[in-house]
Amino acid sequence: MWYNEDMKSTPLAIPSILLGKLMRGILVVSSKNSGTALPGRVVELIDKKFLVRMFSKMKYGVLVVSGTNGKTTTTHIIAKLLEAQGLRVFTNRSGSNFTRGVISELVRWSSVFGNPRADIAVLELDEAYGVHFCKVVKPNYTVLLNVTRDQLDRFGEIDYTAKLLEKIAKSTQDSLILNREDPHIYRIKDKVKNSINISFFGLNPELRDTFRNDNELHSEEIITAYEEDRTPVTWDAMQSYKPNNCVILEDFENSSALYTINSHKFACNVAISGLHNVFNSAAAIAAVRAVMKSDIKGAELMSALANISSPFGRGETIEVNGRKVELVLVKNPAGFRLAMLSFEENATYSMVVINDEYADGRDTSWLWDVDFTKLNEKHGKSKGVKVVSGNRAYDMALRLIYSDIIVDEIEPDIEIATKSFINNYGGNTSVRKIYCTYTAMLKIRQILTNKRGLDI
Amino acid sequence: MSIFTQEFNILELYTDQMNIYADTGNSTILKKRMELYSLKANITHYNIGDVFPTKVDIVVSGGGQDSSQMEIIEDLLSVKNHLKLLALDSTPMLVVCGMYQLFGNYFQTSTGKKVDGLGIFDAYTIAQDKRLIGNVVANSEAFGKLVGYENHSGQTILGQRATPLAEQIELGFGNDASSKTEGIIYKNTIGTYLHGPVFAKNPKLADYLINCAVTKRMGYEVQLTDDRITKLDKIVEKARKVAEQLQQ
Repeated sequence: MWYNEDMKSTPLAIPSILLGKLMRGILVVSSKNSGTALPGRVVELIDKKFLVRMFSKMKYGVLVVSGTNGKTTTTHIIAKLLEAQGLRVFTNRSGSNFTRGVISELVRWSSVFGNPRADIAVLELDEAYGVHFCKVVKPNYTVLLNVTRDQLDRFGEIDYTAKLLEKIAKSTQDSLILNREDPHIYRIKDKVKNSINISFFGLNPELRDTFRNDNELHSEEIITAYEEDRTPVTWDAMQSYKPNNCVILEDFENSSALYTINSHKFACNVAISGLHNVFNSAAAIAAVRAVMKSDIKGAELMSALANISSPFGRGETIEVNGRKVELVLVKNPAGFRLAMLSFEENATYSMVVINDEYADGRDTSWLWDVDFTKLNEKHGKSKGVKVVSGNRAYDMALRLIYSDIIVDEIEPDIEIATKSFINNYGGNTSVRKIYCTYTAMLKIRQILTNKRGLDI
Repeated sequence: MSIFTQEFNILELYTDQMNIYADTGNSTILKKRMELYSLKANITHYNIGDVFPTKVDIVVSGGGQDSSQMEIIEDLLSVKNHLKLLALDSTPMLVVCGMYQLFGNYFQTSTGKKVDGLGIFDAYTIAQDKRLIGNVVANSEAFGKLVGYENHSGQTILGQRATPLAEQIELGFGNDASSKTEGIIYKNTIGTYLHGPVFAKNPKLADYLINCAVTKRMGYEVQLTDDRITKLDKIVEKARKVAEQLQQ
């Protein structure tokens, strides 16, 4: 049937697919960048409705994930959970946020007749880009994670970022999955048509101090947001709003988590590292339930969750010369704070790498919004900050020194710094974490994986 | 009373609302530098509805979102006389971005509404569609080269009696898109658009406020020195060198 539809309504589909595939083939052979963007650009130019057509042919349509923190990992968890349900999942795995990246991937995922080999697309969308994307592709399901101050060099203000997410929500066709604990996200429930299904993910009140929203990070007040008419949204009001389809993170200890799903409790050991991911998993569970229309067993989801590992560069552990290093991506105060809370019982050696490219955020002021006490050597679980690096190494060093945290080495050159950190501090069994911004993470990953097993 | 037993009070205004770009780092830096100079420093806060404190040696406040400015404006105007007297009395103050705007005569929002400011600075601000965002390098006759990051939609026009903090812009915009000046200084009150926070890479500004506070309290001038500060400022020099090479 899909084949016939193709023949009738979209005579251009086959040529553009073929052209895209050809371009990809040429690029993969001729360059080292595995040709992510260019074939997408070719297809986009020739066949503008390509995206809409491909997605409309997927049985479950499109699910998008947006918000400040946790997009990549949550997208990854949702994709894996849906795969465990037997769905063929298309996702923007290459981490590319842009249409061209998505189109390139879609080309790879299509038959030569222009049919997608997938039942659903699960896409990570950048807040600003998401607005443009959703003008073209109306998502069936939208998961909104949080709004915290981040990349203000791009967005100016967080109220503006919240507005962008609201626009994405308004373009959604079927279900919204919202963070009940973030007032900017919570209040979006009142901004969409009544026909939209809304489900929430949330926290037991006792965990609220750990997973603070942006207002709670920057204020002592309980009132955390205001409606447009200036009436305050209180946390009590948010808590009392309890629809049946809510997934709650009730409790956790290290990577073990307890969830309430549709008033039944389930315990699980979340394999994916990072404290924040026990909450991101609640979002993912709620999303998968929305897609599968709750026709899904909690225990099944739990066993799938226990088998998902970290996506590229997110809490990834790399072993070099018998020494392990964990890469922790940091890009804003809320994320950095949660990353440091994830300290295990073992003594941890830390390195911090701050770059200021566009993808990292050009303004490094936000480092002063982070409480670094956990990295202080005087803190029981920390072995201190051994090395700081990146083109903003000196800024980072000043930030730490002004908080009485000793920095052993300041080395802007990331390669020299990384080698020193691994070779000169701790023993073979020591726990090492590198907190790094996005472009720094790419660089360190390249250094470590190129030299794995060699003498670094 | 000995200079070393005095407690100097740093007053931070509206920390909850006016800290969007981590400007509270400025009070952290002030306190630390004062401690290294063997001075006792204490950070206090003034928030909406509080009683305005009587013993104030230094005032700091930062940038906020448009909605936060509107949230505090009524309260700010209710303590206008306190802040005006402090400024007239040469109390050292640093106001950044959003609060810099509110220290002027008025602020015209993007909807054309005129909001009264405190009138401490001979300046007014008009919101524009285009935000001025990016790294800034500015030259100041009094303080040398200043480096930081700006992010504001309001453009500030200085009056004829006003003295800019920096007279020449090398990179970025500063007060507005055309005047090529950055910030303002009136008596010992400094207004600026520079985030970073500004004291981190411009410790001369922090030391200026500290010296003003000491002189005012003690009645004599003193050259403050400390070996640890000298070492710290060597790292500052390196961070400044990087900042001077940045693109907008």
